[in-house]
Amino acid sequence: MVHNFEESREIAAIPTREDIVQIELNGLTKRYGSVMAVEDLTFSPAPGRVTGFVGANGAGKSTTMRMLLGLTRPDSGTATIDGKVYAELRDPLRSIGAMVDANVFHPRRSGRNALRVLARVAQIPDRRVDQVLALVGLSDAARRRVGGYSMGMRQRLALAAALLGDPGTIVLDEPANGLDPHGVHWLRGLIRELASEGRTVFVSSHLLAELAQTIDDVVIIAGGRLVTHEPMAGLLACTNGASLEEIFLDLTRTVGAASSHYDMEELT
Amino acid sequence: MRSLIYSELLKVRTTRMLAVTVGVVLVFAAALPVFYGAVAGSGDLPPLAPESLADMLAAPSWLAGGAVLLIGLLASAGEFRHRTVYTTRLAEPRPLRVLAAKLAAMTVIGLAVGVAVDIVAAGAGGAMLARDGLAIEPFSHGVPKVALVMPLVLALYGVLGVAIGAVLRSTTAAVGAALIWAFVVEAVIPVVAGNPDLVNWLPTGAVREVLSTQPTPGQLAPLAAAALLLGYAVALVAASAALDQREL
Repeated sequence: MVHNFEESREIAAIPTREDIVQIELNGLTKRYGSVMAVEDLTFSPAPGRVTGFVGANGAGKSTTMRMLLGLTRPDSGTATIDGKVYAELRDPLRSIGAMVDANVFHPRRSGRNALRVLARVAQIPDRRVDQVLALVGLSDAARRRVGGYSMGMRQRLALAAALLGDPGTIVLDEPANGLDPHGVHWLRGLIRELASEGRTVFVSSHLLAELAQTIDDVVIIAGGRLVTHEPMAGLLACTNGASLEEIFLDLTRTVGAASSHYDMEELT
Repeated sequence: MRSLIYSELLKVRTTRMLAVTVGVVLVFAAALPVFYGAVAGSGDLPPLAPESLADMLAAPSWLAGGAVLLIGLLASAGEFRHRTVYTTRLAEPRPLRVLAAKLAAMTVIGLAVGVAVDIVAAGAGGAMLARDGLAIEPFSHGVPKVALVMPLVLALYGVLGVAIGAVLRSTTAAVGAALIWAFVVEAVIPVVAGNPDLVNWLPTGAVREVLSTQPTPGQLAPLAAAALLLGYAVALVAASAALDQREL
């Protein structure tokens, strides 16, 4: 049985913002010495949907996201946003909000000032800084130094930075790292809220059970190569209700690091 | 570009580094002319005179230069230490524009610190002259030249700090390299080369010549020394611009 994924995508469609951008990864490849971090990776997260990016440690998720965001140079292939590489975006903070790490703030700067520094580049007013701090629940800690923040608070601050330009597309690398159960619950709600506003959310995570409750589509990679890119609803329907974790383990075990794009018919 | 420069200025302003460093510099900018006036006339030192004002004005230049260099080093290499370079690059993905904004911001800070040092040192020096009943002549004896050159030299120190930090990408390495250069390399090079006058062609020697109030035999002319300093700055900035294309 081959599931009609396009049909399920249409059913799950939600109104999308006009400013969302089209992310396209095409033949993306990156090697560090003898280690092939990402190999010939091609996919495109659907605009206006939440796409989960799943892979084991070292599978190449962060490297892929960094190449998309212009923080790492690919050896070959392209990662484009509306046809442009990140460095060519005129106003990147307003086009695509990104969270790559929680520890990217000066420990002696207050949370509010850490965001003001970024806001100033894109001429975003201070009231928007206060808005995103309120959105992530950091208003009370806004004037405290980041060095005194817990890991969860830093994650929230990094999320606030990603939302600063009110972008239509958001890229989050392991946003649940360091969050306690309350934080994870809060994050799920936030991602759903962002998606309900019609934004594209591209999120990587190890917490598969958590991710399964949040995402519309899933991209699974192993050994830097694409294993599958399918809508969650279709994937779950084709696997007789198996959990995302079971699907992931099965796919990465059977397909492994040497796989090419996974054929759904193998599983059904 | 202007918003990027404002962002860089905000970065420097929103940690305590600037306030603490400039505070220390201004304390010494007041204390050094007072010390100069207090010891003048003792031992072999010449007595205090109206023409001493230029020397009193120049007295804090080394400390102020070192402080502005440090601010520049930390503003640039500190981005890598604290990993803020990632958010900086996400907000402005073109590294050369970020480098240019940092250079511009440190030029502004260097000029501002220089003017503040001028005002404080002139006030303290003037007070010492007044204490001894000497005339205060701010528009003669080389005082205008020192007052004008001081902010320019400090701006240059700021530029050098940013460039060194961008090349080395490590605060420890950058501060260590600056200290080793100032206290070891500049002392060793003339000895190794067997030419003591070579010191005049090195950065600290050139700064001394630019700020000197009286021509000394063997020294470069002030304008030549200024051109030499500018050359060092341009070379370092070019190196940092070329190396800034490296991956994070």
